[in-house]
Amino acid sequence: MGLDAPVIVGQRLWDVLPTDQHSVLRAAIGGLPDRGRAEALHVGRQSLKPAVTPMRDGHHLMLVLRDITLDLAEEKLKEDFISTVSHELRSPMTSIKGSMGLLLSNAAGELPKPARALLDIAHRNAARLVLIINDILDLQKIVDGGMEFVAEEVDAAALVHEAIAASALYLQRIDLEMEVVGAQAPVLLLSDPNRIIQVLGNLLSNAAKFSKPHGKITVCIAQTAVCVTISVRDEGAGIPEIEQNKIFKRFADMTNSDRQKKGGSGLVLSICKAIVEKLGGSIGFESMQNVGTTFFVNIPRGMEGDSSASACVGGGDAVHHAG
Amino acid sequence: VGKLMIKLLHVEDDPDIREIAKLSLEFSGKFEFVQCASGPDALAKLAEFTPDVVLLDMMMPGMTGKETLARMRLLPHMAHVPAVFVTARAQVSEMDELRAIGAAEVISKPFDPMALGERVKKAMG
Repeated sequence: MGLDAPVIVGQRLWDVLPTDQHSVLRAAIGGLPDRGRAEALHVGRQSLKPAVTPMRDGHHLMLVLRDITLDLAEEKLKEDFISTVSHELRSPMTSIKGSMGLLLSNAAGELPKPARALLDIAHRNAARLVLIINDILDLQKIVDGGMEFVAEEVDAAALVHEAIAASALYLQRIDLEMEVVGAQAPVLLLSDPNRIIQVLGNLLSNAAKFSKPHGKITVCIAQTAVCVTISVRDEGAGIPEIEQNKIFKRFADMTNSDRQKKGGSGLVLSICKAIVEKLGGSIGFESMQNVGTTFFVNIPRGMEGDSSASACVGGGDAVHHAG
Repeated sequence: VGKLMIKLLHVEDDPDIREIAKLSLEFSGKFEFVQCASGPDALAKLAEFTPDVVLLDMMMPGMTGKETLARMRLLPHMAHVPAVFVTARAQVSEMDELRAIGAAEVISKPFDPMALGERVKKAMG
């Protein structure tokens, strides 16, 4: 804490700690069962992570303050690096993708057929690289708190239709049937509509990528008093058992060559998970080989902090088959 | 002949992106444009060229796009000319900030060269 031992020994912690940090420590002590998630205390330039443990006598608490200043600095450096690199990649990508786009549009004259085919491959992969950069930035924004979440009263059924409409061109191009179940009447909740649409859009494109040709995607909305569950089911090959425990990890689908062929960034599902958790909800999936996969998100009907938020986390299994 | 061209001032420090934008704007066939490599160059150019719209890169060394626009706004003939920003830092907060200082549109990099002219035209209202 930047204080010499003689100054600090024998003093009450409350007298040593800056007053603006008292509430943080109080919260750490108050949240005893959950002490692993306590907020850091900031004293001068130092960040201290409190861990509070009850003593055996039942009357005292033991407080351990771990200096995490360097850990945080390293984390910040890493985040800044990713953010800067990602941004710096966008400018050269503008030239690369722009040049190819102009050539493909015959801005420099008609191209021979083989040249067009090769350029089309390069253009498609440049677009994929941009997608990866955007996904890295998105995930970074969520991690460092840069993504804004706004709660307003929204109709989940309308959001489902909006997400489908936004993906309509893409879905039509690959000839998939779309069915929506349980969205006839409004399903109201207090949450961030743009983020829900982003999650649904990601789940729809993921389902489309792994669907068989002429297959069907089913979107289903179910609700309880505290929670709204939206599921997206595809009729694809299913997720191999060996990959199931890492499906929400970053770049999870890049390790599998079949998934890599599908052209994803490997971050879409981890972005979905991060967003849903920021909304106070949870995400999960069920998958059967050669039958398909259902991803479901549980979103609390109320804002984070009220009883519905905690009731919704991990509580979707009971409702996600409904409808 | 007889077609009314939109006068555009493009400010971008990256010569490759200037070239892409040049081809895009020529391809659209709706613009008469001047390109500058920096904010100070653009401000100097305004003595002889009054654009209908300004296309500004945000991140430029020396004088940023935002600073360039602020200086342009001090010139009486540039007080109300619509400005369109192009940025690699496509964060929502930055986009909102640019709109708040009067950007008619914010285009994120990489942009679609075939749609650039149309987006600028649409931003002009």
